[in-house]
Amino acid sequence: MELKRREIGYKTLLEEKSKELEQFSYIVSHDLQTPLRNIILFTELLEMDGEASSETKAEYISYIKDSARQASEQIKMLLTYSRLGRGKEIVKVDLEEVLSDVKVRLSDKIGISNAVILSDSLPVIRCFPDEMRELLFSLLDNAIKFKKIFSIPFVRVSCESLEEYWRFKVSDNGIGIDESNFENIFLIFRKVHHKEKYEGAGLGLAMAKKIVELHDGSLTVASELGKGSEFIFTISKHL
Amino acid sequence: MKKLTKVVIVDDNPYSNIASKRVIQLSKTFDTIQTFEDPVLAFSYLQGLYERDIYSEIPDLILVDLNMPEMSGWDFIHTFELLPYESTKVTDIKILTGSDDDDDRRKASTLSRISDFITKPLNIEKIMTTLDRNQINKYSPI
Repeated sequence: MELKRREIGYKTLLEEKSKELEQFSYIVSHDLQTPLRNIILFTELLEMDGEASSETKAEYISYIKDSARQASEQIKMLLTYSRLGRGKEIVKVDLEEVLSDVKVRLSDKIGISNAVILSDSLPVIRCFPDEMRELLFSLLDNAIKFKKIFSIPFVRVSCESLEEYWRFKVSDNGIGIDESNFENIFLIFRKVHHKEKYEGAGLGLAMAKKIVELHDGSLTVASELGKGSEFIFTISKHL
Repeated sequence: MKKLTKVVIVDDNPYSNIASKRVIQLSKTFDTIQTFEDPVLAFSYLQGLYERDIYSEIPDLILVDLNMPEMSGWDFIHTFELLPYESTKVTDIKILTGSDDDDDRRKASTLSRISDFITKPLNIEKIMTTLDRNQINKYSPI
């Protein structure tokens, strides 16, 4: 019986890893290609654009530099993502403290948007401390960032103690997410908004999902466009 | 080759747009090159042209990227197809994408509105080849 359960566990793990690997190769072939392609593009233009003025050429060179920097930044982020939880230890963590840390990190954005963050009293749980901080940070950051225009973000963090795991909810009154994007938002570097409207690298929710999975939990979203979003995640009590 | 009047490029990557625009300028194939980073904006601009029949501004060619946030190239093309064919038939549509995905290629070949699938980076040769291969003159206004 125990053996069977372990077998199933390995199978799920294997499936998760292979999905992650698939995503990884997609990123390398799509997202990392973009800046590299731009480097080729402008190098070729430099070679062939005989009519280009020296200002134009300087512009091309600055695009090449920017693109190289972008590629390097993406590789760094990819490493951060793949190293989550590696070589770290699970310890007892007071989530109240984590939440106040996160609020400090977000204080500028909270100040500018007048965001209101309300929370249940949060428990002390066993988890990876840095990862948990990152998880709460990216969920709260999103809740504030994707606010409706001319409205004050209202964010609620709630916690429920179930038999096998903790269940947390982070809900907001923001712009909401179209159902067709419920899966896309968790893919690394995937952004569902035009970049001029909302800043960000498209890493937050991908990291959040991986962090939750490191804690034998799951991360899901419920949302309605124009009404707000609710991110629900579970953390195992047997870590 | 007959010089065409106008091409519209829809691609969310600004660098890609700058370079594509310059390459097309150097190829001397179009008089006007207009780029859009936001496909939604591009669509409403085009829709306005067709609906109000602003003939001089209607493009001969639209180059559209596939992987874009908010509105993918596929969404763009499907929405475009909802416009009355009578007014949009003068415009040829080609995909200009970084994806060299076989599935994307196959999908593109099933859509009659798409006349070619061009992979980035764009260069003069690619433009010449695609303009030669497609009888774009069939669509272009005389």
